[in-house]
Amino acid sequence: MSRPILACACTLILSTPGAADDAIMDFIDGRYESTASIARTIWEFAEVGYQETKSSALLQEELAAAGFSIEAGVADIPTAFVASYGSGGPVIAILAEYDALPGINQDATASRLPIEDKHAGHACGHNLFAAGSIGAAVAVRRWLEETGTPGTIRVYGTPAEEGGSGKVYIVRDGLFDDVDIALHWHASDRNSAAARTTLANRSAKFRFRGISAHAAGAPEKARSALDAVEAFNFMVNMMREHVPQETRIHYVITAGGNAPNVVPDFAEVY
Amino acid sequence: MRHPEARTVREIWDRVENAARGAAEGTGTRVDWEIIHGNHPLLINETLARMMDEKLREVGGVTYSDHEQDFAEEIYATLNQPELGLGSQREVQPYEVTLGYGSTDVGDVSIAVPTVGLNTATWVPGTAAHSWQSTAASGRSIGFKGAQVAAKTLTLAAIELFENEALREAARAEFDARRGGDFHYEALLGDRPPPLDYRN
Repeated sequence: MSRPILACACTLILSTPGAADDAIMDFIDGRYESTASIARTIWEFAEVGYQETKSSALLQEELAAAGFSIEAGVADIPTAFVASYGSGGPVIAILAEYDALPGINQDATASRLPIEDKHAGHACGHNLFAAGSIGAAVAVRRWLEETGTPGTIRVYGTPAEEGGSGKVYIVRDGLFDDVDIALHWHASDRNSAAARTTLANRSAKFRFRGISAHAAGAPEKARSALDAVEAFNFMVNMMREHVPQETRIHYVITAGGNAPNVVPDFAEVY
Repeated sequence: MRHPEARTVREIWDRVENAARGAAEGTGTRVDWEIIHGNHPLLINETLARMMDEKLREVGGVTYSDHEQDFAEEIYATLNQPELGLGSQREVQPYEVTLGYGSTDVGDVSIAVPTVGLNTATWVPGTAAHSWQSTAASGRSIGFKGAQVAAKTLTLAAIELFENEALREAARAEFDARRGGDFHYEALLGDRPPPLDYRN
């Protein structure tokens, strides 16, 4: 990576843990049932990206009940919201995600057990992400009020993390412009605050259109969209040899015709 | 298509588009495409990450009840080559600077504003994301306890940031230096509207 590596400001003095911290930890411990209830309810909803209507509504209700003002449907996304408490700066933002993944279905059991009629599941733990972030926001809001500290605590309800890039639209609309620091977390199999960067990415659906005809009777009249997908994939796969080592390229063919004796006039690769 | 640098993703992307045009030309078909999503890499902030690490250590990890231990042992037996042992949910992993090969839309937040996060042990150690085992733990008390660790750590971090102006300024200075003075935000997904029906 070409980024300069900076010496970190390790000499900064952080506050030492004390009685005030203990009181806040006790407060959060006392809210365990609330965290569990939010997490479990959203887990049961298991709504996929941009369709998190009930999950988003539940989170907004919880935050409104805790004294946050809510702006819903931000960035032209019905299930996105910004919840705020306090006034002026500094402005600290906590992110919340709540979309489930399609195609995975599992009960909360220690052995493989799909739930009947379910088509999505919280395999990335975004139900926990939402519940934990709301728990923190409510505790911080209480601390701001009790101590009379100036500033604003916000929760950003950010839909469709899984392949929908919900946050990008919220950033693009400038909704983070007055934020000082943004905080987030993620479900995992470990506790870690390692500084972990990720890869930039871009995806697209490439749609090829040709001409259908009988694959044996009149192939000379046809132009196969599936051939185009195969030629495209072949070229991109050869390209792997001539890109920087850290590049990742992956694809699925999402449409490639329906019957072998019909030359496909439409094919799509994603 | 992914790479650590947004600039390189754009460069390779142009070649992918050329390949699509070439494939259409050579097969007598037409092609168009729709960008579905795009994310910037996560811009780390070590000033904030070290602070978060300290808060996480203050809070500590996840302790299982006997019942949860039984569940965890049963799940653990089903895992494929787990990297971590049972019991590591009580510990905090060493601080380090790393590269993950995934992508997240938190990346775009992190180049708009100084950003920091953490992971907590909401799943049985060794569990992979997007698995039935992660789904199961996300709906149970093991997951809820992990969420509580996150809630506590984020709360302590937020309070520190409200109280500590020097920390906020140092984080901002590191952010400005890493992002570069001539930075101009451009979403990798361009100007498309949110694909509200992408899961239909």
